[in-house]
Amino acid sequence: METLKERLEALNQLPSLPIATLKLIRILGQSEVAEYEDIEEVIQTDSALVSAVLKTANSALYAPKSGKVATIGDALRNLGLRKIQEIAVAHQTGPILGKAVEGYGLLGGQLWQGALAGAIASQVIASQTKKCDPGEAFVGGLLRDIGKLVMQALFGDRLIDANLKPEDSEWNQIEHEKKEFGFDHSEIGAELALLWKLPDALVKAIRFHHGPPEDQELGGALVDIVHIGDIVALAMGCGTGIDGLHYEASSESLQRMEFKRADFEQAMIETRIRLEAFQPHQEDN
Amino acid sequence: MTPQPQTLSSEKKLIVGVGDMKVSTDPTMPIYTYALGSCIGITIYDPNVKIGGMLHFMLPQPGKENKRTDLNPFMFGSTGIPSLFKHCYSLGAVKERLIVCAAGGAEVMTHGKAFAIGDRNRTIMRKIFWKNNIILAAEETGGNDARTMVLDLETGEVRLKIRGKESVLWKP
Repeated sequence: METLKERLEALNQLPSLPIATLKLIRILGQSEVAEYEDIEEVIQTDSALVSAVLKTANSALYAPKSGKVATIGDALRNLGLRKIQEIAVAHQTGPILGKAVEGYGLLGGQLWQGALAGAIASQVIASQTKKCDPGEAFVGGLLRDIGKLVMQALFGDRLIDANLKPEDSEWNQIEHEKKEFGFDHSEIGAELALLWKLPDALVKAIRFHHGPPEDQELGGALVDIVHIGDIVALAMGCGTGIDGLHYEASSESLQRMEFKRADFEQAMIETRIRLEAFQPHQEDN
Repeated sequence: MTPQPQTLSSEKKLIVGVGDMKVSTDPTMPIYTYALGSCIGITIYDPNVKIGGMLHFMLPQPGKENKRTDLNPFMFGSTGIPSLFKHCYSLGAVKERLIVCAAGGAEVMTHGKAFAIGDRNRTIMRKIFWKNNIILAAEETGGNDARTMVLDLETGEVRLKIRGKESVLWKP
């Protein structure tokens, strides 16, 4: 029987992130050893990334009073490593996660909206709980559903047929995918993250974002936080397709993070406010 | 930065985001909201003057702990619902003629402790309607499915799209 890795490698068109973005995620995954020079060098290799970083550094929100930010080095000093990572990853994943994913009934832009909402929610929850790094939580939240793109690439039209099958009102999407395909989008997403050589903590966050394990050696704070971030995004209806809200919230994760209803509601409010910065309100004609 | 959901149709429409509201006097442009999760979408429509609006609220009310005073009122049922009615009245809609519909309020599944956001959203909506003597013409709330809601300002028809299938929630 083929392993998940073999199935992935056999795909002609694997979802891919720009090399510079992957390098940034890997370097910042070991944040204590990251040097500004290393980050600067990686960003300089990608002209689209350079302009995205400079544009944000000169935006009304971040521009220094003293004048214009002209170089990546200045931007790094003004914004800090984590903010640069957030800009880079959000900017570079847009074209990939912005695609329609028919197998989950997601129109163009909807997977990305869900990714951003989950990323911001995870970042907010990390700041609220102080249990993990908010920058790492942002990236985990952003990439958590990358496996949906792989499912689409692997199964094509079969995916929507399978996802439309459940007729009872209370099916669990993860169990359903396992039954139909032998694995689910979080497992195959984690396999892709391994192939991309993402840091171990991020691979775990993607793998367990729908079912954090009790064993904290396997899971951990980042996993719990990205899971709760996912629930916030689902409650807000961001990135919900034909799978809807058919995912289970782990009460154990909420307990471990000491996350109460007021915290959850606050996370929804903050996510909604910050989402606007990424998503200027426009009318679609 | 994020594109709005793309649709296959080139039809002109107004899009209501999460924690957002739109009212209109233009019957040629339907009002849409995509993917209501635990949020609730409320439509109101006066058929005599073809004025209507839609609110997509996210939470019942700002929490007591919330000290921010700059919060968008459309995020909450407690402030968004009165605002939706007042805006439509200011455009010429009349309370007695209004057709009011609601959808959304779904929940994430759980075997343990739940925050029941959808349920609490439904409760505040009903409480406000009861206090103000407003009767819902049609409602589809609860469950675990996400819903897209559309108000046609020409006819007043309210449609839902759930798991790719369209259905009529209310029609004249």
